[in-house]
Amino acid sequence: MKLKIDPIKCIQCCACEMACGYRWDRALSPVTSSMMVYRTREKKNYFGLILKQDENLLLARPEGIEIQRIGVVEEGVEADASAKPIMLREACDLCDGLETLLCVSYCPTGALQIGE
Amino acid sequence: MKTAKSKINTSCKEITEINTLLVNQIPVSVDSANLFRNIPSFDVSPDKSSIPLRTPEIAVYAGSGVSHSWLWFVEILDRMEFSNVTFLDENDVSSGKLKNIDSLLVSGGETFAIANGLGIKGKKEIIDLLNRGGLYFGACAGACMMLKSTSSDLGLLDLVPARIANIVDELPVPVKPSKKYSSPYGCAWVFHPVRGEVLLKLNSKNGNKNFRSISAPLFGGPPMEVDESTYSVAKYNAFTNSTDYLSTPAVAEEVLLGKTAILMKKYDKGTIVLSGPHLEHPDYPDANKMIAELIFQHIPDKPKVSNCHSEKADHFNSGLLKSLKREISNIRIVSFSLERTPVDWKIGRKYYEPEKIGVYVKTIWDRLNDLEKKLRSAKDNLYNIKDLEKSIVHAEFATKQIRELKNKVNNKEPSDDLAAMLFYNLRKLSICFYNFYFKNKQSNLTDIQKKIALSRKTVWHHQT
Amino acid sequence: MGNLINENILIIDLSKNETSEEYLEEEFIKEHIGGAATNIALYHQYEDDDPIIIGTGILTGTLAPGGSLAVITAKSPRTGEICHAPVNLCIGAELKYSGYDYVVIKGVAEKPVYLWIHDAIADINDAEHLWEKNAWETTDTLRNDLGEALIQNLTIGEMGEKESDLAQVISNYWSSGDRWGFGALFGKKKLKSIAIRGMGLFDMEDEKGFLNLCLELLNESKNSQMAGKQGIIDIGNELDADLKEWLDPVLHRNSACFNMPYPGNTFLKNGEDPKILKETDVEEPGVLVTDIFEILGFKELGLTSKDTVQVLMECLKTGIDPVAAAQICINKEMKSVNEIIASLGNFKGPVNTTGKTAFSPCCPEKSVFNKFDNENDTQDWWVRRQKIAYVFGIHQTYSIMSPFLSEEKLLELVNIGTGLDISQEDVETVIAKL
Repeated sequence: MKLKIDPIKCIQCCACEMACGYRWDRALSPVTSSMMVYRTREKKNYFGLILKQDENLLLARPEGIEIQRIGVVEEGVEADASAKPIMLREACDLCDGLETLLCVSYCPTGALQIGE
Repeated sequence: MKTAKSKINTSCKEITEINTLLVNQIPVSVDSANLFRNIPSFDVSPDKSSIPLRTPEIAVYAGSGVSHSWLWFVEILDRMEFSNVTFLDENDVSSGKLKNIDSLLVSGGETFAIANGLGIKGKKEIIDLLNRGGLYFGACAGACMMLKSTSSDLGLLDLVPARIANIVDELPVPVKPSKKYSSPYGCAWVFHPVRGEVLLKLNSKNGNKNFRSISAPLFGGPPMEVDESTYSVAKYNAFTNSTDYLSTPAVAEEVLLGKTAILMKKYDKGTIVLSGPHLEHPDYPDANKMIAELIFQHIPDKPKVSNCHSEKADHFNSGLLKSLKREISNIRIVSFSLERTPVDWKIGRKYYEPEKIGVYVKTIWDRLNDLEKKLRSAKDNLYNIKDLEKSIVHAEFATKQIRELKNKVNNKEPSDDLAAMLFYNLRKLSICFYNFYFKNKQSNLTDIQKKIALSRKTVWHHQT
Repeated sequence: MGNLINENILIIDLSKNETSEEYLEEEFIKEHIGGAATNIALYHQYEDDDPIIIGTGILTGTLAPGGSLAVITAKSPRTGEICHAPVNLCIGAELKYSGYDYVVIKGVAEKPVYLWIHDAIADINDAEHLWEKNAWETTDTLRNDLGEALIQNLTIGEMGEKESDLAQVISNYWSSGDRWGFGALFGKKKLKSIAIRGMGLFDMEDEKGFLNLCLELLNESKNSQMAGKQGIIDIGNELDADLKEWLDPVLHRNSACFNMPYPGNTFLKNGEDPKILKETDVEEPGVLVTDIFEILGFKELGLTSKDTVQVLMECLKTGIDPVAAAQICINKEMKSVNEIIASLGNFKGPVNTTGKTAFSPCCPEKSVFNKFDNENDTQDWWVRRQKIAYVFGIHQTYSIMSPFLSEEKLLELVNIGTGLDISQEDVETVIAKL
């Protein structure tokens, strides 16, 4: 099972963030979700989604999807193996143990879908 | 107000219970054969079934060279209700603040930077601790620092004649070619065939054939080869689904499996315990419990009077806590914002990402709210008020630094130096805060709980 | 308790430069439920101090569809009556997650200040450096100074500082539902801005029940006549306002307020090709229209959509209610963009933009997309829907699109989310007082 993201359909309602936050905290919280709505360019109306995965950040922006390896600081050089893991924000586990992906369920537009 | 919950809700119930009784000054004796079943015993004779405990005095090293992993000690010691915990930097160590300490805990970071930071004076203080019968527990870099080395940087402290088994002159080909999976070690290389969770097999104790396995994460810690003067407490036994291979499984098996993961060595009256994996990682309660057992096992015989609350108390001042909370909130807001920013800082030999700021802040934030509630409801006095005041000064400065850092990042200006200063300041802030926090955290039992505890006739039996 | 509610009222005394907190008692919650009804109760409690009350509903900031609403309640400088202005985007959610359900702002500051509300801490900070900045510059400066672009900001521009009753409280950069001149009250109090960041957490009494019902309501929304509709153009179609062709040269993307299934905000660009979706170097390419009536007046005036964007941007920066500005332009037959922009700061009322009730006419006074059973008596139906939305914390416009978001369902959400036992009778009592 994979998570398919269509950033053009995203309306930055943040429901996915809240649903994902619930997956980790069993409460409503905008802070701990693996899914983040990228909405810091408000005046430009430029927004999309960022998904934290195990080793990557998946950037789903209007111009397309980009995968950015976490810890990559310059081309060809990565964080060393002794780097301690950060425990703050969990990587997406595709809602392991749940019947469906919560972010997909609460997305009102189909920007998030289950794919194979 | 509520904030994001801790994701880890495991506990070491037995240890918590012992500490809660001790902090309430209820005498506790333990069945040593049960409590210390995982670790060899140099100090407790096998027939001595019941030993009295006192509150151990613990120091966590948080000086130069450490990574954020020392905060894992904060998490687990707090969770297990240890109360007399002090956080020291290199200056504290060399100025004699280990004098009253039973156990010194040193986590990961840069081996040589930690050793250099401690200097000759600091190293001598650690040796004094061992001479007095104290415990040195080191994980990862904290372990490497105590191993025999040809490097003069580690001189004085390289007390354990064990060999690091993953030092090579020429690096094997990594599985992930782009992954930098090694770090320089003197003239050679230390390479890391895996990272993440590994399974450790504990050696049998007193002929006990029920070998136990525990898991713990390995993040650059050493596999070790020991001689007969050193006891191998546990060996690397297997990998798990959560192991991340950086080299081929065959290379990983050859380099790690069967090698010592945890060792124990007597030094004078004291004990050195070194672990490649991070036993202090909060996701691994069985491993955490081993550390607690080591701490209890190595309380020097000589009875000591706890220095907890021996100093003059100040009245609870909610304004001070609020001032700290304000600044921690300001820092955490910017830190959260930086997390969404693709930026890393090179500080020393390591790369720091914005989430590391968040780790420092979150660990304080989670405790600050609880502490505020506890102190307010109990109308307790505050101890170590100076540490709280110092925390506020560091936090105010950190707020300015992180906001400036954010602006530099936004403007794509170089920010490594400022980030280094911020991390330094966050470490200082954390040291002050935790020294305040552990002095003021109390788990007071109710009268009913005290009665129940006393009815046990002061003998605490380990529940298996 | 504490499920879905902070139980915390923030009191700001600008005259004394002090902040304090009041505990929100369970009885008080049952008596007033939340949102505008609680705002009114707090208004009367602090009436002598000419307060501004900002409140959230119990469902604000939750996964309840449309749960974005915060309400500003105060005495309108335009009407002299106590009125309610809806505030959406992420402002309501941020306020709630900042640790406060309600903020009472009383008194007058000696010199310009802004409020910085975060993590259950409220700071009254000096705003001398912000005074005389326009609304956009103010939001930019605060976000920059405080280090987080997600900070939500209620602010005023020049018109608010001049205490003009045409002044609007601006939401970040965009129009709020303030048709009451509340911006003038901010100015009178020397309150330049309220910057908010929320990073808290809410438990739910019956989390599965609550979330399942939210999902059920969301699915009804997705399967309704609302499906496939977007932005102000489709709302305009429902109001017999054909905007498609007129807006085409400036039409960019639609977006939604917090957890609003309908993307009711439309971005219009005149500073660059609106078809460009990727980020460019143009810092201020256009405006987000959060309320269709913001642009209808300028269309009626005969402006092109490009000119409308230009004028609207200046209105928002100056902090003047765009609906009022358009009406003045129509009255004066002022059609030159340059002349309008040059005159905005000197515009004076009176204008007739306030509607007939205490609820902002920024919400269309008819059902949109989906029909309601009881909407025959339009005015009564609309007022009741607004009251319900303003009490529970539901976006005012979403409430008139969503018959499935019935009072019974909303009440059920509140009860299973909080563990309170609020009855329909309690709701009737609260509604009657509004």
